[in-house]
Amino acid sequence: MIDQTDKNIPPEPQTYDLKEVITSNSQAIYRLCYRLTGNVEDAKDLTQEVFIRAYKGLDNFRGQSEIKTWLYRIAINLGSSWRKKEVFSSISLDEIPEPAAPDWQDSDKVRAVKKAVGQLPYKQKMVFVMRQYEGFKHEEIAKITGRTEGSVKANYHQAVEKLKISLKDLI
Amino acid sequence: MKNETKIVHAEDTTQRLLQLAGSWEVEMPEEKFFINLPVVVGESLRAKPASWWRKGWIYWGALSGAMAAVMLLFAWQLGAGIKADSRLVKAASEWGLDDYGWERVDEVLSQAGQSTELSASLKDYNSAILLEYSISDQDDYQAATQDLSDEEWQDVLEQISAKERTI
Repeated sequence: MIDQTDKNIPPEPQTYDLKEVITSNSQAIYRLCYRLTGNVEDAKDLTQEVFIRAYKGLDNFRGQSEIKTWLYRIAINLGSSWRKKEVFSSISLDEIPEPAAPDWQDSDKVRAVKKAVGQLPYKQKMVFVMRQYEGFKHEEIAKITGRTEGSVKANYHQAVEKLKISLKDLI
Repeated sequence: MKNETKIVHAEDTTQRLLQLAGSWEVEMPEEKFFINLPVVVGESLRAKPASWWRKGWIYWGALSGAMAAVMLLFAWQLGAGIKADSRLVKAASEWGLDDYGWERVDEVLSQAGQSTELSASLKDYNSAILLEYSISDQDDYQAATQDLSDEEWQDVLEQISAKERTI
């Protein structure tokens, strides 16, 4: 039997060690940032900014979701701002920046995938990345992004359809 | 029969697409990036240097400043008679200048566009949003504004008023 009164009890305030939070989550957050930006340097900047924002907001984090979920949310919001910066900087969306490290060579197929994913509208890209690369279910993405499951599903479907068109020569 | 074949073909194409998409691996940075990250973040918090977001403003400050001015103009154009919508547009201009993220600016402006007469510039901006960002799921931006507490609204409005006095 579920004790209904438990629902009304606010979660206990928790204390978080910044170093521990960063160490446990930095690689996962970096991976998401890399997929959203498509290049190492921006992904590194974005990852760093996620933890700076997280630290500043740590006092307001009520522990109602996992800290990882909360960090993903910050990354997604910052990724949106990054996208805007790209648009307003007049960088052509056709030109996804190449990796800085010369020893990393993408195949033509990978370059095409990066370009196609990079050109998706932000919401579709974000949902596609979280589902395809991070393995989240639609329901979980909805929870992280504060949206309805229906809109997440719609965005995923739209992303897949657009990618089919962009990558039709390769599939 | 024809429909079934079509569905099977679509599923095959989706599978091939997802397989292809899976070939994109993450290029990881040098290991020291993760090792140093706690220190770098800690130093950033102490020194409060310009973040990538704020650095961005240096490069496109003129453009963003113009945008903010245009948004404030929208607020003026909307007039004091439409208090709630004016508040939305004002809040949006502030969000563009601060830490709330551009997506929310889009969301709020789109919402304002549904309920009030907008200037031609804002109509153009909203059209661009619709074309580029495909905001069709309206529950998103409605939720964005509902999330703001009265205290947050008050804070935003106070900041905007302060900025308006300096313009």
